[in-house]
This record gives sequence, C-alpha cells and structure tokens, in this order.
Amino acid sequence: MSRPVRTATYAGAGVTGLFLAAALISFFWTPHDIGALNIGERLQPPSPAYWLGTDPLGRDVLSILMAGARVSIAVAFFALGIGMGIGVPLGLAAGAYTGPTDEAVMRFSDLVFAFPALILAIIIAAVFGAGAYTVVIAVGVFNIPVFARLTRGASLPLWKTGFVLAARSAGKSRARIAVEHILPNIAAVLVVQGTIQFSLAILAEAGLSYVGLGVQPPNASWGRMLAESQTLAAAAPWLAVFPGLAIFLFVFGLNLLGESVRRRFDLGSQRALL
Amino acid sequence: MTIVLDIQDLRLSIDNRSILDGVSLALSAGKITALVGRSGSGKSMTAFATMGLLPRSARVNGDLFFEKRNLALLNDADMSALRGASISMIFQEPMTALNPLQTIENQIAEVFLTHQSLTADDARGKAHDLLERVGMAPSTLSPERYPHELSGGQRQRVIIAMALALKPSIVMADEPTTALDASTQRDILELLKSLCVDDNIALMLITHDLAVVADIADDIAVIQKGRIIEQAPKTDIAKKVSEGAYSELMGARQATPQTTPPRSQRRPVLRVSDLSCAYPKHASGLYFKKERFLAVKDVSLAVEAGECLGIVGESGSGKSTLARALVGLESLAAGEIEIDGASVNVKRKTDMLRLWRQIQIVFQDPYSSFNPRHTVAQIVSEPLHLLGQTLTAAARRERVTDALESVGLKAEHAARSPDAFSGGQRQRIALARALIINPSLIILDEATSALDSAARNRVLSLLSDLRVSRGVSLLFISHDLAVIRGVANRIAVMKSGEIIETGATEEIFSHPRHDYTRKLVAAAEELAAALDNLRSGAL
Repeated sequence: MSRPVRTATYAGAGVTGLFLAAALISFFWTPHDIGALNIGERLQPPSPAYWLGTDPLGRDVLSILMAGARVSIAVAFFALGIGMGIGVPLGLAAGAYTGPTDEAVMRFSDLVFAFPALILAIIIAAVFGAGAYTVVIAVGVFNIPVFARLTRGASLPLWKTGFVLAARSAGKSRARIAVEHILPNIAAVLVVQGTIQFSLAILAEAGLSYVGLGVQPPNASWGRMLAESQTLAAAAPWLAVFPGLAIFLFVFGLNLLGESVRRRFDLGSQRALL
Repeated sequence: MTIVLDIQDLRLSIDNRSILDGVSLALSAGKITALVGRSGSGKSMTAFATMGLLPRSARVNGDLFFEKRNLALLNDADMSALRGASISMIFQEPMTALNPLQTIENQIAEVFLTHQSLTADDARGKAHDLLERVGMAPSTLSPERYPHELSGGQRQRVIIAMALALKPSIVMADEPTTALDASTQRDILELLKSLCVDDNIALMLITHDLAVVADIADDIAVIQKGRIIEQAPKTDIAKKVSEGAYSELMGARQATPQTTPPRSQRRPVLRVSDLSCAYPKHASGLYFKKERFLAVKDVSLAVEAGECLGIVGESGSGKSTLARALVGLESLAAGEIEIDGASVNVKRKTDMLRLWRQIQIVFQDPYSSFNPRHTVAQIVSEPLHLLGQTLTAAARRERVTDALESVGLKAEHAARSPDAFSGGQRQRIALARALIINPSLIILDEATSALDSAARNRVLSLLSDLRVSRGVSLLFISHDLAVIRGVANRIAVMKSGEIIETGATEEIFSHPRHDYTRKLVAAAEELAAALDNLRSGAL
C-alpha cells in the first residue's frame, strides 16, 4: 500500500470509528441529559459548558448529535441490510439463470427505480405513519435494485471464465457456483457500493427526516436537527452547522474507508498486467 | 545498415518487481529482428516500454534512441505523436484490436483522418490501396465487411494495414500469428517481411517459438529473465542451435509416434452423432426474426478407450464450441451424445452427472481457469463433488495428493494459491483437477497454446504418460497440427463447423485427402524443415 493510500485508510477508519463510538457511548452516557429541558440555557453559543451550544429548548447540541448518530447510523445500516440482503441474491440469480429469471429481476428493478424513494416514503408514512421504520423501508427498497443490477452486472463476465466452466463440468449447480465462486469474486465491488449506499442512506434519512417523514420528536436524528435549525439558522448558526458537518464528515470517512477496502480486496488490479 | 532504434541497458520494474534487467537491442531499417524468449521473459514488456505504454507504477531506466531522440526522456504528449505514426504495434489477438461495429475500410481510413488532413473519400481511397497491399484487394473482398465476417488471418491483415498506414519506421509485432493456424501463419509472416522490406521498416517480431521465425528473421535476439542474452545474425544463432543451444525455444515439432490401442480393446468411450450448435446471428428480439449461425454442423465422432483423438482447425472453426457442447456448457441444437454406449439426455441432470463423471475438460487459459481466492487443494478437489458421497477430510487430501503427484506436482503445493505457479504448472493443476475423479476421457481445449515451447513439451509428454499409466482417453483440440502430431494417434480436421476429414495421424500426414488438410500438412512440414535447417546450421 502506498503512503497516501495508507493515510486515507487511517483517516477514513478514524472518522468512521469516532462517529460509531459516539453513537455507542450515547446509549449510556451523553454530556448532558437530552430529555431534560433547560429553558434558561436556551440558544447558548458553543462554550466550555456546552461544547457545541444549545438548542431552543436548552438541550446540549453535542448530546443530541451523539444520540442522533445512533438513529442515523441504525437507519442506514438496516436500510443497507434490506438492499443487500434482497438485492444481492436477486442479482446473483439473474446472472446465474438467464432467460425468464433474469428478465423478471431486471424488470422489477426498473419498476423500483422508476419510483422515487421520496414518493415511496410518503406512501409508507401515509399508511404506517412517519418514523424511523418508514425511512428504513423506503431507503431499503430503493437499494434493492441498486444491488441487484450491480451484482448481476459484475457476475455475468465471471460466468464465462474458466473456473466457473470447470465448476459446472464438476457438476455443481448454478446456485452453488453463484455462492461459492461468483460471490467471493465480486465481494469487493459490493463492499464499495455498500459504503456508497450507506452514505446515501445517511443522507436520505437526513432528507426524509427534514421533510418530516422520518424520525419524530423527541427522538433525535441528524436530519431532524437540520430541520429544526432552519428557522433559527441566522440567530443560532451552530444548530445547523454541526449536524451538517457531522453528516459530511461521516459520509466522507465512509467513502475513504470504502475505497481502501476495495483496494485490499481487489485482486484484479494487482494482476492486470503480466 | 542503419540502426533505427537503439535500446541501451533498459531496466524496468513494476511495483518494485524487476521485469527487465538491462535489455540492449538494436533494430535496423528494412530488417527483421526476432525477439525470442519464454513466456514471462519480458519480451512483450520490451515493446510496451518502447511504446511508452506502461502502467503508472512502472519505473523505467535506460536509453531508447530513436531519430536522435531519447524516448525515455520524452513526455507523454511527444510520445503520443510518435505512437502510430513512427512506431506502431501489431497485437496477438486480431479480434480485440478491431472495432466490431465499423467496416474495415472505415477503420483503416480513420487512421488517416486522425493524423492527416484528408477528405473522407481520399482516406477511403488510401485505405483501399493499403488493403490491396496486404493481399485483400477491394475487387476480390468487399472492404465494407465487418471484422466478424473475416477469418483470423484476414483480420490480422487488416491490423497490419492499419499498423503500416502512416509509414512508420518501426513496427513491433507481438506474437502476431500465435492465434492462427500454421498455413495462415506462414502467409502472414511472409506478408510482413515483404512489406517491411518494401517500406524499409525495422520490424521487431516477438515470439516464443524460434522455429516460427527461423525463415524470415534477419537477426535474432534471445531474451531470458528480463535480459538479452544474445543478439546476433540468424546464421550465428543457427550455429549455436545446431550445437544444442536454445532447445527450450523450439516448438514440439518432433513427431513421437503415438501408439494406437490394440483392436481387441477398442470400445468407444464417447460417441457423438450429428451434433450441431447454434448461436443467434443478429440482435434477436421482438421485432427481429431469429436467425441462427451454426458454429458446429452435424459433427460425428467417436473416441475409443485409451486413444488420443486430435481435432485441428483454425480459430473460429467451431472446435471450442464443440468441446464445450460435449460437456454441457453449450446447448445443443441437434445431435446425440453417447457415453460408454448409453445415450445422454443433456437436459437431464442425472445424465449430465453421469457424463461429467466420465468426461472432464481442461481449458486454454491457465490464468482464468482457477478461482483466484481458492487454494490448489480446493481447486483440484472440486470435481469430487461428482462422486455423490462426502469424503472425509483425510480421504480428500489423499486424493488431492494423488492427483497432484500424477501430474508431477508435490503434495505440499496443495496449500498454495494458484498465483504462485507458472503457466505450465497451472495447466498441470488443471489436469490434476480433471484427473481426480478418474474420468475415462479428458478434453483438452487448446490446453497448451498459452504455454511456451519448453512448458508445452513437458505437458505433452505428461499427457502421453497419463494415457499409458491411467488408461485415460484424450480429445486434444488445437490449431497447431504439429503439436497434435506429437500426441494424437488419430486426427479430425475441422473447418467452418464441420469435420472435413478424419484419419490416423500418419495417414493424414502421408495422404491428406482434403485441400485444406493438404495446406495444413504442408505448412507443418515446412516449419519442421525450417527447424531442421536451423538445427543443421544450413541457413
């Protein structure tokens, strides 16, 4: 690994780890209690007592940010889980069984793609009410075709390689070959797309919560914090800046990490020559 | 004799791995210099370094003098101006070097249009002149054809036309004929020679086979482990060859007589009747009528126990499709397959399991044949799946060891990754994988084509040994009749999807019936003669 790559890896792992740690710590400790209102201390700018200032209800912004990280990351994690858990097997099946299976998976993907995640979220919210689950399902469903298409596309050329042909003439079923031979060899691509989709899910959660379809008060999330800061952005800019910065840094850290994971996994680029 | 390109002490490393270790080489105008070496010796990299086509992690040291300039010091923009115009290259695989969506005249015309200010008509006119020069006169062969409508040799002629379009001073040809059958190979090399002499071009001909260039080269440079060990006029090299040097750089041209199994033991392990395979010809869909192209047409053949049947044909003749169809990797349009006298229904899983139990296949490319994430043990033991019973870990290990040892590898190789092995060793691993379930027939689809001569000869003699020691039959597919002669006791000649002639090896060589076979045999024998001449120093 060259030096800039190593630096990027450490930076990515450091930033991501920091946010994950903050989210975990928030389960049993935050600098201030986020449930307790303290109207006397409302809209304090950042100070030694309140590192990132306070909101209109006098709650500590750092504490809300930590608790919000928990929600944002959990939502992104489960949304990604739905997307990969359903999309990858579908894509593998489409690559393995050409013909009707392939057509069915691809047309289903087109259908979901044609349907904006926002509209889907509105529909789910209308039926089940707004909340974290709405966001998880809406973003998760949107992720299914992303992974289905990527998996299919990455696996198709592998079906023509010698080792897959050899496995077929060793009598292995297509399903087994897909799991044994195809999946490990496209894992790198999936991991990279996973980090990208994870960051997009964080952004989607922020967006959906911002328009009120996501996490409801008193639960905190980064998107909610941004939404609530809107009317006060001029008077109390720290309310908007810190959640925004948190989203930006976390997404950036994830992308750095994803890229270095890809480099580690990627046998292809090492042996492209010779 | 003017030296056009003077390479002095060229060193190259990629990712800190030394590839070239002091290559010094001179090319002269109007002369053909053959750069001969085994695979991995750095011969292609010498050409890529000269063209400035190296990966970013490459470090180059040394001097490359061309027209009083040192190419090693040029920036990428200056290098780009030289590439194609003054130095051009011909690659091994002509299909991938051509744009499949453009007619050949347009592809050649494009070279003129990008480098010279010409009208489209003038450029096309020049393209026609060039096609005429490479033996594809527009009057006899329409220049409006697409690459897929051409044979391998014709495609390579188009590539040569494009390489020579701008009258370069240097042409580097990297194994330009390896994918072609022997008679086409001969024509292409002679064409290259005459064009280079006419245009006073310095041609560098990269090859792993000394015999191929024995006739046409003026100078021969031998490269080994990234270092030129000798560059000398051909006669000097020939003298050394006659004293026994460089035998590893010569093809398997020695015909070892292959034993035919005694008549009493003859029973067909595989019989194929009227087998056809079809591909859809055009984009088929809702609005197109499905048109089919028959890659294999009514092929019938039988392989008997213990024999080696060779199938020879040029690339695109359908022999690989046939091989794949035989193991269920291509669907059949028509025909019947019988194993040990019992018919196989290719659509029935149990029948296919029975087929794979008896027939295993080894593919051409030793690099893509293995899952890069598996160990040799995992790779070799894969077909054990077919035995239908779960073996204990110890039993698996024993069978892997046995299979590896039967191909001349060692038990301790099992734990390694396939990356640790050379091309020849990889083909042994592929053979071990095929052998592990003791099949009665192994299909070898161009299994030695990617290997250099020394590795190829070792694999071929291993195959002959296995036939005797294990009684396994072989179906050996190759474009190279000379290689087949060394392993097969019977030969089937394939052309345009059909088997045009079948016979015992010696019969095919002594009395070829079909015109095409006659051409192939003549070319193979000319090569053998060229090699003999080289050996006896009579050039």
